[in-house]
Amino acid sequence: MNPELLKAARDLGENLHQSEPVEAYLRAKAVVEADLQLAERESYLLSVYHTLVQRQQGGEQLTNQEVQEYNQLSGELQRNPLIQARDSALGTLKSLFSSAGNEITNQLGMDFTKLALAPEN
Amino acid sequence: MSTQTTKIDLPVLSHFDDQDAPIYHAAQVMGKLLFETAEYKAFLSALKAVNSNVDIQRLSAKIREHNTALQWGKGDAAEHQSALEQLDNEMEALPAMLAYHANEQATLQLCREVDLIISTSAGVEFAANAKSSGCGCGG
Repeated sequence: MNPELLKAARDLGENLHQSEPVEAYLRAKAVVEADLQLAERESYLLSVYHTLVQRQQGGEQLTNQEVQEYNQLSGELQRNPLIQARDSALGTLKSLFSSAGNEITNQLGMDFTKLALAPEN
Repeated sequence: MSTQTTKIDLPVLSHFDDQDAPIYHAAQVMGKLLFETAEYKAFLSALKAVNSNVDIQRLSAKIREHNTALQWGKGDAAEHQSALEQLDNEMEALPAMLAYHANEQATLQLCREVDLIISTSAGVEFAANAKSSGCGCGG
């Protein structure tokens, strides 16, 4: 990569890092991670989600009880004020990142995020 | 006779607040530099060559014919599928298509590297959080 582009990419990243939405999100994320019990429950929910999706994709029929248990845990976490604060901060961050991404896309004439996230062959 | 005028305070339409101006500027500069790279220029050139290639246009027209026939249930479906596969292989083997795919891969790799640098500096994944969700739900 040419040094000018490398510097420009770093500049953009640093500007984003210093912005209020990123600072607020990183603070809110750290608060959730510092609550070990909460972080553990969220990590558990994620693992349950992946297992259920994998089983469903494998053609397995999930029981009502399994789905209810998942929904209950998911609902409990979504109502947690620390999780709500983090997710709300993430929403604000995404709005800023989306605007920055649109600026790059406008210069390219192609969607930068689609190019950057295209699966590798 | 006098003419009355009404002053309307129009809002300034911008995606960014004033405090975000450096981000706006940095994103523009980076987009311009990415546009000017040899990889991206070669990709656009290969794309243009594909769009104006007569062999690709001819094969694309045949592919459309078979797809339309399949869509309307005309003829033998297996024969259409076999023809589509053959046409696709023929098209992918054309030098213009091979050049397009090679240049596309180089551009995608460059964009991944740029995204990684932005993300590392920002402390948060950039492209994954910048993509539009398409559902308007903020997810």
